[in-house]
Amino acid sequence: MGFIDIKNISKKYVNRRKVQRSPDEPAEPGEITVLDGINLEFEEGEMVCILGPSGCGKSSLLRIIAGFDKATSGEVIIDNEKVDGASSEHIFVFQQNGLLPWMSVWDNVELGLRNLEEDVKNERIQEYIDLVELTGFEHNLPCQLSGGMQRRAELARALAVKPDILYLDEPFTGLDYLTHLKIREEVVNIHEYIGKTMIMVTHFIEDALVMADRIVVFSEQPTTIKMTKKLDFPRPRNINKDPGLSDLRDEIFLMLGVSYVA
Amino acid sequence: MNESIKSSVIYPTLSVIILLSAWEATIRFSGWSEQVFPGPIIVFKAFFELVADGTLFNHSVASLYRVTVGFYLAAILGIPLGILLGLHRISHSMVNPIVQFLRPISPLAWIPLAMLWFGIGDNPAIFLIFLSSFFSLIVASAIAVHSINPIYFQVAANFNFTRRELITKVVVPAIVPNVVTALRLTIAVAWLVVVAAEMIAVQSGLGYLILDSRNALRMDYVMVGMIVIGFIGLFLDLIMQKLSIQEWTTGH
Repeated sequence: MGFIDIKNISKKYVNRRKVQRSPDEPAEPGEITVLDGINLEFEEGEMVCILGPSGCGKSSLLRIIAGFDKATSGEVIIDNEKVDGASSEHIFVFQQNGLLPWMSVWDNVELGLRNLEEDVKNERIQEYIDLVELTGFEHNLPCQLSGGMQRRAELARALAVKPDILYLDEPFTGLDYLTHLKIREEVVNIHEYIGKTMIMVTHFIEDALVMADRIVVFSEQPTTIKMTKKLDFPRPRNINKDPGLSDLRDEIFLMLGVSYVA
Repeated sequence: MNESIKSSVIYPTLSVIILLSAWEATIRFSGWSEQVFPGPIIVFKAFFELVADGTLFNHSVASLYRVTVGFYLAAILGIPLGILLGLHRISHSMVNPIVQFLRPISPLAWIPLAMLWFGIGDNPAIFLIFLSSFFSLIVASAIAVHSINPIYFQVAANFNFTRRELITKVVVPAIVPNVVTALRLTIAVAWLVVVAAEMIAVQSGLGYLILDSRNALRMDYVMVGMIVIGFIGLFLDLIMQKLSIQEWTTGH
């Protein structure tokens, strides 16, 4: 029994518009099975990367684990308790637009700390803003920050409440390559620093290999698990210099039916 | 010459002068008597007459008073109600059909009832302004709530917001731009309604001035009334515009 137990999760979306699957069949309301009987176990403190092509339901799974959506069947058990809605002990970092746009960085980071005493709270907020290297930008609004800085602000907000689990939904979306790499490194460092469970959803194979303690690879819709593997490679990881890692990369690319050589 | 001075001062002034000249030219050559179709110079004189004896001021204040009170009441009651309907699916499905049914009924059709319930004077006019603004603001606020990005609700749930915190920290700030737009549109309609309402139900105000002047065959007073109505309407819109700009700079 792992710290996080995902038991037989299925998720179907009912497509109210009629769908015609082939020219011979009549059009009828369709049902899309996005997840089909997913079973997974994660250990406490692990950095898990869920990898898969677009539309394979990995974000849906993450939202179900986080309690934002309900699965059609199956259940998620975290630390022996069934998941039934969102909780401030498990913070979600959204793909985009997670910061409240009418609040400054400071106010956003404060969201989870509303119930603390004034000085403790202010110290904590500053601590985490400094941690993500946004010192000096406390009073900026999200629209006054670059994409990478917005992502960092959201991380600060999430980490400030010292959650037991951090969920990251494609955290590198919309970032330029250099910022992507920089934030990737920061996330790995943060994970080492806080030592708590993190579950990240991504479609970047290299990111998963470089960041994860455990990697889960999903197939296309309807999603089933193609591979789960614990990665025991030492850090810092360099895919090009470690034959084990580069073989694994090739294997996964093959599994997903994509080639990175063109 | 500076481009912005050209477009904000010189060209508009030029076009107004052309318009006034065209007006004057039309009445000179139209063969209509001065009584029936006064020219700008006559109207100008009439304007000063009405300002001098205070009638213009009194009537303007009367109209503005009614619009302000009716609009204010509609906003204070309508916006919170709209927010509630936006958040509560059940109350929305119960109340919305009634709102959608009442909304298209022209406020002017309510005049007989308004006079029966409120007599004559300020109150029926205020009631009509209220009606015209109330339904629009409910609908606009509810729609604004519906169009809030669902992510913000998820963030609120993630950080264990209470119902009250959800409304004050998420819903209200999120809908400000949409609601301010709605206020701008609604006040324009309210101003139209007050003038129409005054032609029928009351003894003062700019609408009444127009009607009364027509009865006295003073078309020049009629036109003064129309022009003042236009300017005040413009002025109200400018105030609302200032409001929306401020919201943008503080709450982007």
